[in-house]
Amino acid sequence: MTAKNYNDCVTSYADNVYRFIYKSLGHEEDAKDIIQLSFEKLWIHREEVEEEKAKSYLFTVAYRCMIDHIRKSKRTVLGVSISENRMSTVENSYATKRVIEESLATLSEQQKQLVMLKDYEGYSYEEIGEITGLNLSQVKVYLHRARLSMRNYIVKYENIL
Amino acid sequence: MITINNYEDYFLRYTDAELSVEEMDMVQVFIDSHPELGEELDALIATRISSDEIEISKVDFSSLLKNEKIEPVTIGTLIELLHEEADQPKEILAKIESNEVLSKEWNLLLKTKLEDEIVVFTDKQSLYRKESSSRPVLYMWRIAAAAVFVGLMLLGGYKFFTKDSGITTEFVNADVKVKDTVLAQEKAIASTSENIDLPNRVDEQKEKSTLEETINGKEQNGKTERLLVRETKEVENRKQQQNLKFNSPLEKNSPQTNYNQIVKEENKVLQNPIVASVEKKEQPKNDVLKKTEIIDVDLSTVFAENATSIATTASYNDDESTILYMKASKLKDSKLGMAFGKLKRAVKSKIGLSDEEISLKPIEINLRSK
Repeated sequence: MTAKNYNDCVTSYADNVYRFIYKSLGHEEDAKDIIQLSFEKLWIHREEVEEEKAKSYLFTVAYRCMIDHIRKSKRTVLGVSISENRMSTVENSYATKRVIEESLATLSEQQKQLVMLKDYEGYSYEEIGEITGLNLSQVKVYLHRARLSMRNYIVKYENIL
Repeated sequence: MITINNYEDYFLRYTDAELSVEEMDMVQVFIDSHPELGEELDALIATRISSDEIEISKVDFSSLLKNEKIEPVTIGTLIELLHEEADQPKEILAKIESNEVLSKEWNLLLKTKLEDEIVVFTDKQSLYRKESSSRPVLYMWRIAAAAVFVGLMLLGGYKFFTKDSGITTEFVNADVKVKDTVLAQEKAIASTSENIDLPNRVDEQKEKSTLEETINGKEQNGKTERLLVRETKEVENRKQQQNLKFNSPLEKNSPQTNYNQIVKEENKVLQNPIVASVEKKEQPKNDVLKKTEIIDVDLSTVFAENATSIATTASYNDDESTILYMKASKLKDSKLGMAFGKLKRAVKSKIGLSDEEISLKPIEINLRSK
C-alpha cells in the first residue's frame, strides 16, 4: 500500500471507524485516540496490508484497541453514560429511533459491537469473526441473542404504548 | 379400540393408509363383527386414486423438490434473513408475505436494524501522511537533536578559537621561523650575488637589520605577521627600483592568498630575496566588515588537529584582528552548515515556510573582545 492508498483510506474509512468506536465507547476523545492509534498502525504496516483489506484491518485494529482501552479504563458505568448520552443527543429524534437506540444500549458491549459491525458496515459473519477474533458460531449466536433482545425491548415498549 | 361411535375415523385413516398394522387388523376384526359396515369401508377405499391414473409428465417435480427443501420458517430464519445470511431469501420472503404471523414478526425484527447514521471524524488532517515523513515524535527529536548539536558546535567553536594556543601561537611560531630564515637567506644572498653593488648591499643590510628589529620588537605581538608583510613590501619596492635581476614566480600571487600560503611564501621569498606581496581581498559589502580589509585564511592546516570541527576556510580581519568570517557557501559544506540545514528543514516543515522564506546567513565569531 502506498502513501496515496493510505491517505485514500483516511478519506474513505476514518468516519466509519470513528462511528463504530465512538458509538461503542460513547466518549469522543477516547474514540479519537483510538482512531489515531489505528491509522498509525496502518501506516506502519502499510507495506504488508493490501489495499482491499485495509478497511477490515482498520476495524480489526480499532476493535482491539478499544477492547484494550475498555479493559484498562474499566469503565463500569460505560453503559449508563452511553445511554444518557444517547438520550440527550436524540432527544428530538423520532420515538422509534430513540427506542432502537435504547434497545442497543441494553446490549452487552460485545453484542453492541457485533450489531454495529453488521448493520453499519454490512460485514458478514465471517468478517466480523476476523475482526473480533470470535469464531463463526459465536458471532452467529451472539448476534441472534442481540437481535432477540432488541426485539423484546421494542415489543415491551410498544405494549406500554 | 374401535367402537360403533368412532369407526368412521378409523375407516378414513384406513383408506389413507395411515393406520398401523395392528390398527388395520383391528379394523378387519371390526368389519367381521359388523358386516353391514363393510360396504361403507369399500366405498371409501373406492375413492382412492390409483397411481396409474396420474400423468407423470404433467407433474412439476422440480417445484415439489424445491418446496421440500424449505425448512420451516422460524425466528432464527428471519434473523438470518435480516442479516442477509439466509440461504433462500426469496423463498423465505414469499412465505413471510403469505403468513400473517411471520409478517408481523418480520416487521418487528426490521425495526431492530440500525439505520445508517452519519458520524464525521473532523480531524482527518492529522491522519494524512507523506511517504518521506516519519512519526511526529521523531520531528521533535530531530529539532531537539539539531538544536543541541548547534549549541555544542558553537560552544566548542568559541572555546577553541579563544584558546591562547590557537591562532596567536601559530602566528608567533611562524614569525620565528620567518625571522631565522630571513637572516640565513640574506647572508646567502649577500655572499652570492655579484650583481649588487656596495651601496645596494649597504641598503640591504640596513633593510635586513630593520626587518630583524621589527620582528624582534613585535615578536610577542599577534600582529607580527602583518608587519612582516608590510616590511617585505617595502623591501620589494626598493629592490625593484634598484633593478635587481631576480625574478620570482611568487610575484604572481593570487589575490586570495591564505594564511598557510603566506607562511610558505614568506619562506620562499626569504630563500629568494625578492619579497612576495600579499594582496588584500576587496572589501566585502558586509556591514560588519565594511571598514576593514579581509585576508582569507585556510584553517585546514593551521588547525590541522581540529580541521574537521567547523570549517576549513575562514576569513581573518587583518586590521581589527577580531573577526573570523565564514562564507555562506563554505558554511553549507561544513558540519555546522549541515546542522543548520537540518534545523532549517525542521523549521520549514513545522512552520510551513518555503525555501525562499528561509535563508542561511554567514556566521561570525568574535575572537577577542576589545
